Amino acid sequence: MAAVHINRNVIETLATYSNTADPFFGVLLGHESEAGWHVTGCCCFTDSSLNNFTNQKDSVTRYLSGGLSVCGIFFENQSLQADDIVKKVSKYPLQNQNGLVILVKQPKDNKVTEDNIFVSPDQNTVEKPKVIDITEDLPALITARLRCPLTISVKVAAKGSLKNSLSNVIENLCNTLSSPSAVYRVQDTEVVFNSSSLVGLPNEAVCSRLLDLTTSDEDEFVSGKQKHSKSYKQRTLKCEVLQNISIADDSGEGTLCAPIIQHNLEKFQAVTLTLPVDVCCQVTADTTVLTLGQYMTTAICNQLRAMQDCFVQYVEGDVPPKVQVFHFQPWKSTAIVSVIYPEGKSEEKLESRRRELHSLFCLPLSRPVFRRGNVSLFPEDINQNGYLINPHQYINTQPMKDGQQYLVQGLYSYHHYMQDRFDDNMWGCAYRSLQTLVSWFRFQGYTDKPIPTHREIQQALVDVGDKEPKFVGSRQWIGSMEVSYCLDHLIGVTSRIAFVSEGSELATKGRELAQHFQIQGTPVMIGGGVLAHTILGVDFNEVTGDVKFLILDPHYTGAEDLKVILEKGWCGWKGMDFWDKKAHYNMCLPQRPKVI
Amino acid sequence: MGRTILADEYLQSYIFEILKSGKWTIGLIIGQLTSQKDYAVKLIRTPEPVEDECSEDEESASPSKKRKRNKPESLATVDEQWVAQHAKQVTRMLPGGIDVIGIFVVAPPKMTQPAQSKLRQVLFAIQKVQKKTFPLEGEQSVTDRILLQVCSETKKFTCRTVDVADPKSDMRPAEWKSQSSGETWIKLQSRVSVNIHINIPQKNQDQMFFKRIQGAILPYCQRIQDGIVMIDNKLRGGQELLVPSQYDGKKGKGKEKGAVMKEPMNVKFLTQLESSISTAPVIEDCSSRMIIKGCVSCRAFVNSRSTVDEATRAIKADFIRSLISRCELLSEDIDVIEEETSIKELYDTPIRVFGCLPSSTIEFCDYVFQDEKIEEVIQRIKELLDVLVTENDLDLTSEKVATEEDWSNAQGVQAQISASESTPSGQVREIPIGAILGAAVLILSVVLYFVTS
Repeated sequence: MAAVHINRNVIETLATYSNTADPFFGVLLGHESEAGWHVTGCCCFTDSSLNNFTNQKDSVTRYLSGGLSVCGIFFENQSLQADDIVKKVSKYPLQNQNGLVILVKQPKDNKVTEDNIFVSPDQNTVEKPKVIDITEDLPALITARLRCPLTISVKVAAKGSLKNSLSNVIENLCNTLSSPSAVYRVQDTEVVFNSSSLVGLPNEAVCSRLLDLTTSDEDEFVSGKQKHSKSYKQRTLKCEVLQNISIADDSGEGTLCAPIIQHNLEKFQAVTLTLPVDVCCQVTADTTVLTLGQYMTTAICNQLRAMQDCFVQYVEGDVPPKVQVFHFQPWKSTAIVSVIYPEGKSEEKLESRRRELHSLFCLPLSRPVFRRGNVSLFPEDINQNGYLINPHQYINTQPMKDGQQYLVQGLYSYHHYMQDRFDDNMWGCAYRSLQTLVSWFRFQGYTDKPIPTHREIQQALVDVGDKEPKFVGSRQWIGSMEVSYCLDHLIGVTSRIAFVSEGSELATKGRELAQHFQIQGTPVMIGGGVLAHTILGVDFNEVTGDVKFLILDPHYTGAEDLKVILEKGWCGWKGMDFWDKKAHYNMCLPQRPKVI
Repeated sequence: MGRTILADEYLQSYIFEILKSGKWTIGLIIGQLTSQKDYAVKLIRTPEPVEDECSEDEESASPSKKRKRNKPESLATVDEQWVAQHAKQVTRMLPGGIDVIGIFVVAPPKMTQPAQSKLRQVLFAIQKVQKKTFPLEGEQSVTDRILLQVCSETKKFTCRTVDVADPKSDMRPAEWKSQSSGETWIKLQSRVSVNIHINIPQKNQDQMFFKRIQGAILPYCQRIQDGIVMIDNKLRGGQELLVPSQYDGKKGKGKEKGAVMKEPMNVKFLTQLESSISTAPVIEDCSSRMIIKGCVSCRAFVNSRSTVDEATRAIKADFIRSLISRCELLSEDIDVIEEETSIKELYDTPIRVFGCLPSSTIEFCDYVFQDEKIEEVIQRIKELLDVLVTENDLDLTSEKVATEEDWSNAQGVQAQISASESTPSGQVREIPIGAILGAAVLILSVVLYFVTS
């Protein structure tokens, strides 16, 4: 039996899972490769009865990106004996060619280790896997993305008939897409494939071959050594779905007649809907292209059914809403789940929907995961709004000896002097740092408010009574306190303020900052007597107390050139000598609101 | 430098025969235009308008009819629609890649000289009708058309071209070159399934039947046009030569090339699924549903130096031309009057049959309704293409006539889709399609009615 690799995150989630209302029961999600299963997430079921199992499992699959599948099951059991586990597992209708992963927790035991993990090659046996690997690093996945809006026309005969007609049309579409006539083409290549045929490559070709065939602009984006390793992983394979409408002579349709026309005169109403299909598949490099074809079809059909659910759930009168697809990465891994939301509904109105999702994917109710702002960014999206995203991720320096790095969690965009065609050279650094902070709250889904301009920031300070009206339009500096007022007023985020009377004292703030990045993970604005900066992380040595700071410098006036920014240290690690020993400093440490 | 038109030797003898007859003649040049050279493969004299079969109805529909019932006295009094309609009918009968590329006249100089501007008008009129009939064929790379004039006294050939995309363009001299060794043509073929389901909005309910069919088939044709093709199961770069020439170095090995190309190339059409710009859901009142389902047999011919793009364009054009042509032929006799009651109508489009042009590997086609006799087809081919064939010369098996079973299958699909919908039980009405088949000889006038209306 092959190996089982489990993301540490899944183990931690399940070890600490304590929801008294629901049973400890659900399924494990993962990717399959030659090397076995890579378990990346889990879903908690509210009902452990056999009757509801298939329903619950089906509702999970509607969210899964291609390649991600239900790969196992977890439950509570008194005994960890294989024989006892078999009895329980064999009840559930779960079947996998590569076997099932089983995670069993004993009641009142909050420990989950290798001992709790089993595999079941078939329904009748349970054994220990040859290799169990609890890891942070799951293999790099190749992402293929297919975007293709489909138009359907659905007859609405009587009140409430929409659901049935819609379901018929969608199932027909799924049948079409599952038939051998539906094929996928990798854009700008001569490769066409589906689950049963491959044109342009040998039949046994694997997905890494597809990446080799495509070229991408991102290759030019990152310089030097990183170019290869980084961009290779980050490139998305863009695919399109096509229908082969030619008839092979040996097919059953070979006897089709010359076109006939049926014209039915009848009065009825029809609603035209757009299905904005946007499907991701994630596979390991050794997955065959044919398998990718199979994943693609499954994922498209799952998504079409999810759209159908969304149309029906949010229908008003006879008119279903316009729907949108969002891809999220809810776990500390690259694995994607996709959610359909109706367009135009506020985040507040969708909260109960998100609550369901948090509960289904065993996620705490403390931070947003499925807000539209949390949508995951694809390499091709990163440069679109003109700001650099997370430039620090491309830094290539070694960590401090015996130090541990604590970094900002999630994405932010780099805001600095002279952007947005606005000349704030010499005075706008704190404003820019504030913009970076707000961008973080946007990317993390806490707010959908736009990033404030200098003028809006000044107006906010007037509105809260901190400044006189003439402040608006001026070129006056602001400090950490002002930044915290603005965060509160503009996006409802409170902050903690930390003071040091001399720059040299910052050496003592290592632990505090480390803790901040560990728990809050928000970028920190630092200002005071002198210039303002953004702190993105610290490298901290527990023993010696040595500390280095990851600085994002808003004083940069050039273009969004990652190479220059990294080489000239506009984003980089700084030692204690970076700070002015004599000047005083204030830090604004934004706190995450507890919302979903 | 002007264009060079390579003409099969056989064309020369066709001209000589006309010269022998002593009658002045106007007709069409059939062939292929490419960016390098043009190929003329057939000349067809435009048949004389036939008077006795025109019904009174059609005559009254078209006031200009009377003039056209007899052959005009001279070139200068030719009605350009007469030739243009012939060009339209011939185009229907041509495979993809082969088009009406110009006109020829055989006449004494005293007749041709005053008719020069008329002949230019004829070329423009042909272009106009073609564009209207086959709206998606628009993107032709070559818009020059050929005018070949043969002096019936000196037997001298004068060849010129005009760019019909530019109304102000001048006639330019061109070279008409007769070549003895026939061109090698590559045949492409495919069988394409048509599966269209559309709802026709109430606001369009006053449309003619053909307009409705057009509304159904044009988006499908557009998808074919926008789609990609696989040739012999490969996706290929558009600029590649369709048949990579291994003999480039050694010229004059044409025979070997010919041997290589005997097998037709099989084409598969890959199209996008039905999609439109994402809009908010709209509810619409509809007055009817139309389903078009079946299989179209496609064939196209390109010269041996063609690129993949040229071949792709040819086979796509064939599908579009064939689907539009048969729907148009069907509609010519059907005029649906909107009724309040719920009615199901079933029609079968004519099937496509193929034959070979004399002294060539290039094929032509015709469309045959179920109840049409083979003699009528043979007669029509003689009339419109000036080609004599027997039943044995025709390939009648490329498409299958719809049977009861096919009809019930089509309805099965319908039933499946509207499984949950309450469809009022309608009566099934079958239209006697055969009635129009006398049309072989009166197509000219019927079509004219269609165009002018």
